Amino acid sequence: MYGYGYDLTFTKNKHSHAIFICKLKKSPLPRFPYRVSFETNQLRTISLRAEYDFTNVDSLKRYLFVVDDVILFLCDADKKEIFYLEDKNYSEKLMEYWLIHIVLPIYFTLNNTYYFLHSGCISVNDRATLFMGSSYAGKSTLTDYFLKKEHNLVSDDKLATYELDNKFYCVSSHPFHRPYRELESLGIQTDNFSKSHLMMGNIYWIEPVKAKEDICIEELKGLKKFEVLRYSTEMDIYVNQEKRFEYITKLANTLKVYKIQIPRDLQRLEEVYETIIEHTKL
Amino acid sequence: MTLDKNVAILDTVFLQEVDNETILLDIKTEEYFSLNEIGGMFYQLLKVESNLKKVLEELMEHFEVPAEQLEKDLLTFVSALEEKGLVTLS
Repeated sequence: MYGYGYDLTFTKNKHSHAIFICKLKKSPLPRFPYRVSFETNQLRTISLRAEYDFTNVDSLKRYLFVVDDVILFLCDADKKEIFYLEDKNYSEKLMEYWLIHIVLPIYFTLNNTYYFLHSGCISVNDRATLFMGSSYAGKSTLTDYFLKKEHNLVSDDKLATYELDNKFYCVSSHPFHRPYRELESLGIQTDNFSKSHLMMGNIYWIEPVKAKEDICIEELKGLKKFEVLRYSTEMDIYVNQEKRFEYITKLANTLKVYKIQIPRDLQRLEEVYETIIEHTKL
Repeated sequence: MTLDKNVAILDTVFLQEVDNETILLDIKTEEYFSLNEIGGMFYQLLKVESNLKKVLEELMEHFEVPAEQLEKDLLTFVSALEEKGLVTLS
């Protein structure tokens, strides 16, 4: 998980990002009076709670993430620990979903480890190729098609990225993809999974068009490029906002972002696939 | 709007460049704006000098246009920033 093997029961080890995850025995919890509620997610009520007002702080190290009636996560980034407490509707499957899909991305965001993008991500010639777009644009459909063509999955949906020496990398997170929408599900496990972090390559913003229209690729510049990356930012929460703005603009100035018009016709996916493969060679 | 105003840029507004366009992000409202090269230069000057008369003097060193035109452009620009809540005037 996040580059260090998929194992929910792993304990502390030499890796700096490894996190100790453990069930918490029922006991009085510390008070977390500052609370931010999010929009309903997966038809659940969720909230983030901290000991102090965390608006615009540089990072947040200790907090609760609560999924009402299901589970509570107590996160401590300094100690690299996440404890969880079961609630009445708890199940192991739900714990796995909320931990991997939401809590770990929040943990890495609040700790300034990774910047998350809402994107499908596939390995093409050992570079990470990103598919972004608005809801129902076809990110997962395209990601799924590349998987069927034996490309490795880097991440579906929430993509962890970081910068090192002016290069941007994508983190292989968990080997699941979601070609369909099912509530509180990680999706389908895949064997085609990238085992290492990949340097970021082309970024494609999907714009669906009518079934008979041409497949067109156009490079985006300036504000339009920024808008795509800003729109595709995941875990856009209140810490470290100036640095996060710097990150996304540096990403925009370093990588190329293309708009690709994709006909709404599943029969033409092979054509789309071949167009993208050829384009990545340029 | 006159040149006797002082301009303060809000500390919730951040600036970065993308492909030679200046992007302003107001983290309070989550709104972002794009400035062209000239607007970006105006904004950079406002960051270091709040007094509009001094900003105009500085601009006159960079642009070979009549002072009246430059003043009009500057005041229009600052009014637009104020309207969007990106600066306060005193």
